[in-house]
Amino acid sequence: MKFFSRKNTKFVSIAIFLLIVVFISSRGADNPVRGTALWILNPFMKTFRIFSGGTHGFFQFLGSIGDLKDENEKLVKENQQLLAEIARLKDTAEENKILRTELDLLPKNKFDLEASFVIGQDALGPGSMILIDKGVNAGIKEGMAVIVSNGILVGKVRQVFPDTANVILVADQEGAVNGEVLESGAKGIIRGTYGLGTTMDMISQAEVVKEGDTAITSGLGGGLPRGLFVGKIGQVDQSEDKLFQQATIFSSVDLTSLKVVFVVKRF
Amino acid sequence: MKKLNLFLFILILFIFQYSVLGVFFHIGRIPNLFVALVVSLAIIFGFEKSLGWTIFAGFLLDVGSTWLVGSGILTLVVILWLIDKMKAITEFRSKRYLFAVLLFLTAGVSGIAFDILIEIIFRIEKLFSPDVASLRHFSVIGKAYVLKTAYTAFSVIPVYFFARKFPKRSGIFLAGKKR
Repeated sequence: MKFFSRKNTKFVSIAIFLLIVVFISSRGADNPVRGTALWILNPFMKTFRIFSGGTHGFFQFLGSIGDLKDENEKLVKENQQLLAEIARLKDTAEENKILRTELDLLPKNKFDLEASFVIGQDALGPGSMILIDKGVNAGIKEGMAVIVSNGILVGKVRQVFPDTANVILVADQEGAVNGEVLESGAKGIIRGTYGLGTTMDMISQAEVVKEGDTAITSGLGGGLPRGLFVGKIGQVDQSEDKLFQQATIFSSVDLTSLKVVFVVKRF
Repeated sequence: MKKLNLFLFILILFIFQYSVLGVFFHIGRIPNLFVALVVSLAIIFGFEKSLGWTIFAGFLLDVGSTWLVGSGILTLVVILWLIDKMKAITEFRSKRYLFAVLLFLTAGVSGIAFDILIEIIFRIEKLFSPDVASLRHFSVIGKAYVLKTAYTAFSVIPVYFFARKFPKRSGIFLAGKKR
């Protein structure tokens, strides 16, 4: 029969063999193989990533020259507002320190951070996974929070190898975290929408959530520290016939242009 | 020597796919260079001679993703086999522009086929391994997915151009040239 030609027989046998490989991989047998391959490719990926980031930055700069003047003026104004806020917060920090001493409370611990370069990105999925150049050997474990400067959450560690790790970004559906609205204390689940954005879901209808509010991690469940900034609340979908409210979240971080991230090893 | 060149070419494609393209393209619009590679190899070498290289490329594809090792390899092998069945496209190599258009269309359709196949494999994998993530591409078909498919189709032109340089002494003759 024509179907059982040498070519088709070869194809069927290879397909069956690959199904067995997939089954074995599902039991975790692929981790050493994947870890070794990534360890070999790590330096090349890092070099190309850094080089292409520089090239992209150069072309972006050329394209944005016209907008620089307006952006500069906007930033000067914002800087002045922030300076005023810093002064106010310093005062609050001092007051906090005094109150803690008086109430005999322990000081807040600082995070134990591990800086990592982003060496790759999931190019064929929704694009909401990144590869970093630190792994088990640097003390990184699954579930650890990954932040950028000033405590902005970008994702959490999903899979760890000896010298690399996969980080699932907040913009991915599978990167859900427990969240809270800073202003009202409303609790919800922050999850991504197919890599295109983030929403806070399952907010009680009794809670008040407004546009411009701040979304942070709530710390519930103990997996992630409390207070990591996620984004600003955008549109709030509040409907009487639904059980919960939903709000879109605008992140201040461009998740596609991450170069260096920090893994929170201890908090 | 040509085997070493092809090996290095596939490694470079891997680095481009995972470390370079993500910087220049938006999320969800990154072309699939591995599909472009498989289309090119199928047309230049045929199924049997491309099989080893396809398995190697699929392995690299799996290494860089969160998928189970074997998923990407299986998908690319199926695409290779299907393209090899479409022998008609190779008959048009002498008609340069028509061949380019057919190559473009084949790569575009193969890109979509890749996503469908990998989604099917994921759903089967989820039955015996709940940790497997599902891509769910087809809930988000829109401008981004159309662009991604178009970029994949365009990327086959340079990939085919480079891949055809490797078989220097093979019996395959190029468009416009005589043996």
